Amino acid sequence: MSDSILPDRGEPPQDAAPPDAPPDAPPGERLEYDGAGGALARIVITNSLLTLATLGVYRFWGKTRVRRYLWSRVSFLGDRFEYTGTGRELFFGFLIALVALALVFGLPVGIEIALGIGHPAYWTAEAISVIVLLFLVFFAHYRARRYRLSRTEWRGIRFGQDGSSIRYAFLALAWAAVAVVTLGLAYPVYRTRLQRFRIRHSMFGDHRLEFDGRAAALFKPWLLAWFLHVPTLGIIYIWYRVREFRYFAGSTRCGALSFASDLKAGKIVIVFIVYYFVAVLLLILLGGAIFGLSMALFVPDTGAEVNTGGVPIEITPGIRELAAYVVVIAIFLPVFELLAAVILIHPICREVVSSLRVIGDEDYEGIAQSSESMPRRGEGLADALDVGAV
Amino acid sequence: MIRGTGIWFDGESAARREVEVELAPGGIRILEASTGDRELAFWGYSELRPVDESAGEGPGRIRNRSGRGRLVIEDAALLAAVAERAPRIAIREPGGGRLGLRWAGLLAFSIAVLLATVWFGLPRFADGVARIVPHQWETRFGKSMVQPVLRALARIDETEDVAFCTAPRGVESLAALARRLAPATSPYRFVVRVVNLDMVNAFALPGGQIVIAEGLLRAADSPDEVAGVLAHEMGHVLHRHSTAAIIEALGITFLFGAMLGDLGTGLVSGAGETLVGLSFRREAETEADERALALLERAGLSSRGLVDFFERMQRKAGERPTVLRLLSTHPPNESRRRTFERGATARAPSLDEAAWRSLRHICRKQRPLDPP
Repeated sequence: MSDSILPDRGEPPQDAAPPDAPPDAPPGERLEYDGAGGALARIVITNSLLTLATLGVYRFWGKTRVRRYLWSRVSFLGDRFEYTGTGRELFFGFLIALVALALVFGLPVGIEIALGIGHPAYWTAEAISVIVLLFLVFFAHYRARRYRLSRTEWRGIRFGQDGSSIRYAFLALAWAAVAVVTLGLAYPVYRTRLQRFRIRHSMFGDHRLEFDGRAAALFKPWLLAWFLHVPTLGIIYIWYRVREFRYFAGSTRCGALSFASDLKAGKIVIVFIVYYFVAVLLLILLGGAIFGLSMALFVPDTGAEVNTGGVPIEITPGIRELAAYVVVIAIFLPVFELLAAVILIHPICREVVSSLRVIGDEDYEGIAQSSESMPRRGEGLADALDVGAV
Repeated sequence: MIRGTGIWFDGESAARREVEVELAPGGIRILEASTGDRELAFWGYSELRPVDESAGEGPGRIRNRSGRGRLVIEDAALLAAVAERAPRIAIREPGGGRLGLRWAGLLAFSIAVLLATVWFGLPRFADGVARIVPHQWETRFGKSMVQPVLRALARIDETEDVAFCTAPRGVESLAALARRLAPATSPYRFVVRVVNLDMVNAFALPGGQIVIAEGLLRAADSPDEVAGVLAHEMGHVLHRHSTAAIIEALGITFLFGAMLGDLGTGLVSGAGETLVGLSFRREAETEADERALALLERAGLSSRGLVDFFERMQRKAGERPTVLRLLSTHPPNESRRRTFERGATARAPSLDEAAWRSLRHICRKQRPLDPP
């Protein structure tokens, strides 16, 4: 549901190709990425340890550190991007979102308790809350994007996004419904419409971005992907997304600048395959460990104590079960985060960023800082709903 | 005077300017390079902040704490000179982060707050919410939970065919006992049943559904013990402990799940629930014990039975070491036994010989659960 693995970058323009460039080089200046897997790994590991120690509170500051690193590794025309968000903004955004979420979460449960399990009306309540949740996910995604863009700067100039998150969420719900009803065939329409909304509401300084992409251009690749989904175990979807990314990049403009990407599907597919392979391996190992622990620990206490407890869903829990959980979490979560960062996010950043070119002539002095106000807190809903990868 | 070149972005437009950087006594002066010495900005040393955490290699970016604009210094010597004078600028290794004393303090504080909220706050909150849940909701919910819970217990007990025990005389004895114990003002109608599980267990669900496992009937030496257990379970229902436990479990799941993002939900909430649930349940158990005493007293029954019961359990298990007691669901057998001593005057037994015998044989006839 996110528009890309990375947040949308701004598109600063560039002069014509430098005089000593080879004659057959593609036009435009490239973005550059000089991040290192090792440095990122160190940041992620520190984050994991601190997050565990603070029972999750540090997570927001950790996220901020990762973004600051990644953003600062991308440069254009020799000048680096900058992420100006803070952990505190994310934290407060999250606290506020908690209240909203408690309602969405609590409502079906409350109804379930009132009506008893299995009551027919319960399913209606469930269905409604699923739709509400979906709405919230889209809503949160758009707001998160606004936050991230407003905290992204290049040469001291902020990016931005306007437009109503509510309108976006309704639009997304509507087109998602269309895609579902057509058994997925209308998916490119869903993607293109949302991309158009997002791009047309994005800004660099006081320059608004433009988008002239049409869903029709993506139908052929999508049909191919749609048919080959099952035989290729879903890998063809990655190919489609790369095609789509290239097309969307080429359909985007900012002032006198246009963009292009020569991202190759092959590289991205390999990155994902490696990641899934290692992830599955880890899961199996982990699953085995948990299962083994469970067998060893969860032996019912039949004789030692009279169990006249309240709700007997668990067997007599105790210090052993607790220790097992703690150990599993302490190992499980950090390893997976590390894996995702080093094997997935870092290579994809590298490939996507270095594939982007900015074409055309633009007068940078003419791009002024935006006078729009920035959102004050960040992303709480998106964070709690776990929307977006970075 | 130390001078060098830099690149300046004024934060008003995306223009890139080459500038001269002069290290004046109070701060740095940013001067226009091309037209001579027009001062574009002056930044005090104490106001300088680094832009990148990982500025170990490559040009250092500097910003002003209050204003806009960015200054990029490519000359390593100049950058070092600035770092000497500016307290908040330091040449750092790539990928490093600042984890000083401030962070340690924040850490300790946040852990304390979190633990306090979850350990103390959540059970109180759950208790309060449980009190305002309408009785009819509880009853309906409890009724619908009986079969799923029994099926879950059957899996633990490794029984294939869990069934209700329905020998008519046993059912009648049990019902009579329940009627005797239940307070007249109870908002719930107690439904007490026996199931053919071997575990020494009994539980209560919201709204008055009480289930006793056959294993407990067999382990009991006298009907007074069963009466005591029944009174204890009724205590749970009257205090709405089960409802509160469910609300609390939901709270933990939600809290930890939301805090750690989705990945943590399954694992951490289980641990968290265990931790919080433990302290809560011990209090609940003590409350139920007290209530049981009152109910037995009012019904004219002795709590001698339970005293004997706990004495036996104690002898079988031995007393657990202190540390583990903190983490066990129930108060130690010893203290429960003492509680029940208080009502252990000699009284007529709760059931006569015949009734007790028919209760023990209640599982001669059985009715399986409804298919799921």
